[in-house]
Amino acid sequence: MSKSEKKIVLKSLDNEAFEVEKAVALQSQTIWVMCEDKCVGNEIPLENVTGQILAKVIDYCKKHAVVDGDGDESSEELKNWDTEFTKNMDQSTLFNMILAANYLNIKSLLNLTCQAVADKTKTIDEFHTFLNIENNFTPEEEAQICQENLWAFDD
Amino acid sequence: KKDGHRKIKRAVEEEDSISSLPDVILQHILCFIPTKFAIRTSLLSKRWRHVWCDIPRISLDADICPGRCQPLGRPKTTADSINETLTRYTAPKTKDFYLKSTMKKNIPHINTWIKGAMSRNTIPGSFYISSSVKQLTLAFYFANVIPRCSVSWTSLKKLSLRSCKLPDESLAKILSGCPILEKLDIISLRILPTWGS
Repeated sequence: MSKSEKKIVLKSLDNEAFEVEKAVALQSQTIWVMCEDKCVGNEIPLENVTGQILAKVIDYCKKHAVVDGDGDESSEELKNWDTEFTKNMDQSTLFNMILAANYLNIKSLLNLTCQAVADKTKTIDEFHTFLNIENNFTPEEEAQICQENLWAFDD
Repeated sequence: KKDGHRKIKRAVEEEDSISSLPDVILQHILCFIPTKFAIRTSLLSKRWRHVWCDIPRISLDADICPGRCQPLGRPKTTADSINETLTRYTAPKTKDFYLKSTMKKNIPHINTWIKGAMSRNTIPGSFYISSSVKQLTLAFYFANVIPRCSVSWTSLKKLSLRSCKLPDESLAKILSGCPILEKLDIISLRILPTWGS
């Protein structure tokens, strides 16, 4: 394989281009299928991902491409890196990362980002505040919902 | 009447972006929290009312005692309540199912619960017959494990038996029903002598 074949260009929704190693990009099942089908050239347009989010996705893929296949020590390091990666992400970035991971079909990134949202929302109140969801039930409706799954509302 | 924090919410007027994610993603997020809390999200808003019903991973704890939230009429047992929950659980594919039940009074319900959680994905009829279960952990706290019918777990790769009492025959029956078993974990197993011997 020549050098140019090892590289691939990913183009974001807002036309930002990222040149990455193929091994990095192929962690995305979506990109993998596109390359297999040979329906794209060396440049892959990603219509659902902005440059800002794509840059973060590539960071993640780079990190995981380098470390995968190494020993146990690095898996611990990788775990810490993952934690740091999502730790300070604001809510909207986190949701956009989830959507991107889903669209690009990168299972480990989807799990990581969904886990990060779940970790911040352990209680209903946390859900309301962190996720900014407005309750549109009447008290009667609320009581009815509690009744339907009583065991789940017991503390 | 809306309470204080709801008013503040409205004043902030931020976009509630999580509710605009597709159901399948919301359900994926809910897999990372205990089922009990996942079900509680039905109380968030109308958008969330039925999202939990299709989560692919469900865990039931029948040992919880029914407490504060009692209905006005006949008091519900935890078993009744779990039955009710399972009638609303409609996931087309259950990937992961966990059931904890250590109380004698729940024994009559156990089969129904297993069927309720798995029936869309397995051949209904028997817990011991399934072509889709890949991994199974059974912890029986030294109750007898006696499959009355033949065992057929044709996709099972990992089986873990913990604190079970097994007649010799049962173990043979189980193992002969797992043609592609790769890993068998046994912790505190008591093998009982074969019937009649």
